[in-house]
Amino acid sequence: MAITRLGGANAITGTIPQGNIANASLGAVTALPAAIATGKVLQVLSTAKTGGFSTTSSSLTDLTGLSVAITPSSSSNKIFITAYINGLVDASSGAYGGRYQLVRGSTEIAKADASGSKQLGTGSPGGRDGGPFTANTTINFLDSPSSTSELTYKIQLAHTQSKTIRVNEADGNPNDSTYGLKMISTITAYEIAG
Amino acid sequence: MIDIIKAIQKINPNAEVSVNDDDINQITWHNGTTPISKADIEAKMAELQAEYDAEEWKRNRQAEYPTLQDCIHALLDGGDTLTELQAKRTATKTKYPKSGA
Repeated sequence: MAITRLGGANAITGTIPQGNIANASLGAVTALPAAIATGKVLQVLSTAKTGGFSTTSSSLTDLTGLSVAITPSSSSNKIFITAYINGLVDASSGAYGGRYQLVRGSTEIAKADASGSKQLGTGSPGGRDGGPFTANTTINFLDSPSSTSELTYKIQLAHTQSKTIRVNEADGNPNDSTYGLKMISTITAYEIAG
Repeated sequence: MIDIIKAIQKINPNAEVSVNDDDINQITWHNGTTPISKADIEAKMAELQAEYDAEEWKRNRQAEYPTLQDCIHALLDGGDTLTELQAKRTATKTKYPKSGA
């Protein structure tokens, strides 16, 4: 027998056989128990950047077109950000350093701990070493913004050695069908019930 | 065409700049870099493209030459193997003559 104990209206324990659960009764459920009210995905917004971007900036600059704006419905909710970036440091002269930084508005978030004079970031583009191929970088970060205002999440990037970082493209010559690859990058924001 | 940022770096190797969507109208200059005019950038792009095009013979030869491994084998083996390899190289050179030659 699946039901193991009947001790009153609020004391039924055990397992209901799967065949005894009717879809009609499940359809009547209008709310989840309070105990599992958190963790639900309330909204999802995403942006895809399909054009190329390149920079030689040594200071963090916006990766134009790779941002997403979201307005939390409650200040206790969290925002889960995922960003997928195809990029590379064009290191034909042996310079590899570059960094991505996740930013909310003008606030840098998801930042590494300080370490001497190292430049800090959230992630790093791939380096070119013998071939102009890109590396994809994935950034996942759960933010607690404590806000119900519209929030803009974006990616900034900078080179540490004044060379070129390319995003969404592997080679500078559009007519190069051998190495001239083009890709896309995305950023997605999920509002999670807090 | 050669891309914009490559042309800018040829004009000013220390330029700090961003280019969006390969669009000459979407250039941002950073950290005090003196902007370069669109006309100068476009002229440099045309110049670099001409240089790139002029070396097509070299890229074609490199694509069809025997591999380095084949060359080593031919040099070690000598005889007909080396003669055949040299003939292949000569045929490739004839097929793709040097620009202006």
